Amino acid sequence: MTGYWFLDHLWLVPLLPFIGFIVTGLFLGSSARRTSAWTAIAAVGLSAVCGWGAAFEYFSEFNGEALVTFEFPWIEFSSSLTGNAGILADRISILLVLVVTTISFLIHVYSQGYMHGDRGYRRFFAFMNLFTFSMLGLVLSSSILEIFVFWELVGLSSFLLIGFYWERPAAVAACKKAFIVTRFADLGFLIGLLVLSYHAGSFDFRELNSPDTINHLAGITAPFFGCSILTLSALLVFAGAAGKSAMFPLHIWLPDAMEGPTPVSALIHAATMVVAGVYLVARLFPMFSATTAGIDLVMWTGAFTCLFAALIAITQVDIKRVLAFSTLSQIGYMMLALGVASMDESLGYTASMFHLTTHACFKALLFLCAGSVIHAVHSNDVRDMGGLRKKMPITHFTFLIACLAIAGVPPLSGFFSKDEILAAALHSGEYAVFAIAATAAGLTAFYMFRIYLLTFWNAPQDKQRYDQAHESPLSMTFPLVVLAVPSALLGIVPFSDFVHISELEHHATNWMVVGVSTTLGLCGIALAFLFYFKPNQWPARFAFAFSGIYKLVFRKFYIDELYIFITHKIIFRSISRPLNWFDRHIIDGFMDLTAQSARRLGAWLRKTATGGAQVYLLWSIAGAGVTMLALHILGAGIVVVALSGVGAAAVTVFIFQFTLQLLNKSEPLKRIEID
Amino acid sequence: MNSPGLEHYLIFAALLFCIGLYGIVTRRNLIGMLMSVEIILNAAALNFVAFHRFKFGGDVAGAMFPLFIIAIAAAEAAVALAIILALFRRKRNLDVLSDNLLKN
Amino acid sequence: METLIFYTTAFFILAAAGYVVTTMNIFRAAIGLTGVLAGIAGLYLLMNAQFLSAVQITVYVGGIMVLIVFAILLMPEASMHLRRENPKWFRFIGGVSAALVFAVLAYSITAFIGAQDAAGTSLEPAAASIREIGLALLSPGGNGFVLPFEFVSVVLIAALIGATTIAKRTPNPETKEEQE
Repeated sequence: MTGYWFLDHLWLVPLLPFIGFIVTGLFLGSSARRTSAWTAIAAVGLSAVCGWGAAFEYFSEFNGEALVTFEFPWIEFSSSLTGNAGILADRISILLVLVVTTISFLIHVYSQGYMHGDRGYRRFFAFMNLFTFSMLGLVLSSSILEIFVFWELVGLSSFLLIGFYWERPAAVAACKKAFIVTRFADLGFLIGLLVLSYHAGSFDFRELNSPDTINHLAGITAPFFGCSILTLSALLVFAGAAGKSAMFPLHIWLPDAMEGPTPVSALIHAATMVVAGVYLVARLFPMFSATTAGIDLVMWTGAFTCLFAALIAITQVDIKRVLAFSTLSQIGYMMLALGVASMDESLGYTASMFHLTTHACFKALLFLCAGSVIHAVHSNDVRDMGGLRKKMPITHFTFLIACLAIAGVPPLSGFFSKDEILAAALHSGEYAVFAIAATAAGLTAFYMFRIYLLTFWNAPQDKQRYDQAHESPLSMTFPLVVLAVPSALLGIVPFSDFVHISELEHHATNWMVVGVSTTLGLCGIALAFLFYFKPNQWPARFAFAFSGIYKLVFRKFYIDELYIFITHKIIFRSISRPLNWFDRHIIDGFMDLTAQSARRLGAWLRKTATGGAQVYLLWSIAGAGVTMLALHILGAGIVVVALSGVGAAAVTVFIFQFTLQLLNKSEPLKRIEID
Repeated sequence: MNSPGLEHYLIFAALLFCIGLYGIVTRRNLIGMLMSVEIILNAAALNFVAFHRFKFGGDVAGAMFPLFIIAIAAAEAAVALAIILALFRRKRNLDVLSDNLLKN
Repeated sequence: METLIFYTTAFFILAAAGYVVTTMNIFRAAIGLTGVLAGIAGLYLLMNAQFLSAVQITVYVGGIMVLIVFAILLMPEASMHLRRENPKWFRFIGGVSAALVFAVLAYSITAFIGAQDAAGTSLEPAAASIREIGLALLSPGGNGFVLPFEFVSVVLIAALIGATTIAKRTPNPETKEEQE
């Protein structure tokens, strides 16, 4: 209890969208389209109000304390290990609440126009509310067990929304892919959290992040390559984080996830859910920073994904896929920033959170603009667009702002956050990482302006589509304009005053970093103008000149093919098939055998059961006579003899059946005929 | 030939019992089976009396049980014959195997 | 003399019993059964159980046998001739089983009597008088049989009512259909 209304009632923030989900999902008929939309929007809007209220109270009154404003014991594993569920308010959770509620609200408003006329209108809003609830629960979780539950819930809602157009096979395949890949990664998370909590004796984040616990964990050696429990659990938890944040090599699901509706891509696969991995690492940052292997893995995974995804983004022609690879690249930045940070020099941590926030704004904006364009021309392919700036002035203008922001042009928000990351990388002495990040920054500017120019400048490629194009309705352009404001201006906010993990640091502006990043960004933009401003032969020539590399990059470095090779050729063929054979012939065979034996025995015995009472009587008397005689003459030995006889008969039947089974002569038991 | 003792009566009763058993098993006529049952009951009652007479003369129970057996046999015969009669009305024969009674 | 009577009676009873279970005429089987029951009454007499002998004659020969003969006469076409017999293998197994049981019983009896004789626990022959039986039958307590006596009366009543109910000619729809 803090005595502040919004903080005390912070549980309202996730609860309101949940109520919205229940109401729209269960209580409204599918004909109540407007009502469902407005219910969903109102739920998220109220939640955003509560979130902002709590943020004002928190940052004005409690600077940096981790408050648990609501808690109850949830699962008691043993007297010493209890899983609590609660609401944790600290710097990053409040920050994420602001990001999630605000962007979710704007995207809900946008969806109201974008999804207009869709059959699954109500279902869409119900799922969106479910997602918002799950994501808010995730960021406000006070224990690692609780976060895991919400982690799976966001995975579920992501699955539902990617597969929203379930009539399309591609969407179905994409949602399955996303679910399986992230689920696979979550297995690591689950094992990691169990190992961690078991040894730490607690699920609570405050407990897990305390120096005592970390030292204790670092002192225990795990029976696994000789590393400590701390390192082991950090690596496992990071596997989950990498899956959710689509880090290489688990990135394959994110580009395909673009099969979902565009607002979903904007909310889930750009602004919020995919940064959950970053959030989780930040949440456990003291733990990660205490293990060199863990933090290095975070850094190199981030750096590699950052560059790798940026390269792929250059070649793609689907506007949403370019944005998806751009998202990968930007999340790589955030991971990288966390990786270069430490508890002593926490600039990277702040930078990561800062970039998360600015990225959420401008990437959501980019997606919404892309959605607006797609809405207008009914195509995802940039080769179908071109010259749309006159047709769609608001979309064009906001898209330009977002592009400038992501390209890191001063003084827009992306410039500040990206500079902070680069400065942090340089500061930490990881020059290779700095070089990668700077290169990726240049590439980012290039590919973003490539699609910008192809979409809004250049020459109209498809006359019919061009003529049909029109500006989107107010409900769609309003969120664009609103989002353009923070995309442009968020950099001015003294972010590090709000979010930092150890002592507040103020670095003098590193002009070298500013110079390098700005120069690279402008070079990228200039190159893009050269190639794509007017229709010309340059891109095709380059693609031809470097056709080998181009093809490699265009096919996304054949990672998907590699996965298919591994799953189909290696896992299916050499593991699943023998297992399948074993299952069919040995396990099932054994069961069929038992059933068949019983059935045959029964069929044979059935002949004796004529229903004639006298026959039964005869056999019982004969049996009694034989038994009495046997007992008299042979004593107890008869029991052994009789059992051996019965056993031998049973074994014979069994072997006979088994042979039949292996020769596939005996049909599997399908039905039992009763006449 | 020495005077008949317990074992004579017992073996005789056993023989009678087995004849009854054979009758129960082989007779297809229900009344025939009932008569075989009566033979078996008499063999059992005879055993009681023999034991009472030759072994446990002080105990009156040996003389009591045949009485009860006879009473129960009377009741049994009455009920069985009633059932047989009812069955006969329905099926017009008393063959145990002709219509498998326990089937269906 | 007693020995002679025993063996004669026993032989007569066994012959009659054999006739009962083998004859193809059910009425003759009933006559044979009467012989068996009467013979057994004779054996009771030989064992000094006069009361039981009398009961055997009155209840069995006078009651149950009459009932059976009545039943046979009530359904003549079904019972006078046992036209169909069980198959030979059936009778063979039945005979072997019965012989087996008898062999085992005889063996046990001999072994039992032998053991009793060796232990020397044989008692003097004795038989309960009618007076003793009557007193025991109606006296409560440890040696009394009044409770089973009353139970038997209840069982008899139940059997009486049951038999009447079952044998009563009820309007049976199935039978009517068959007859029509």
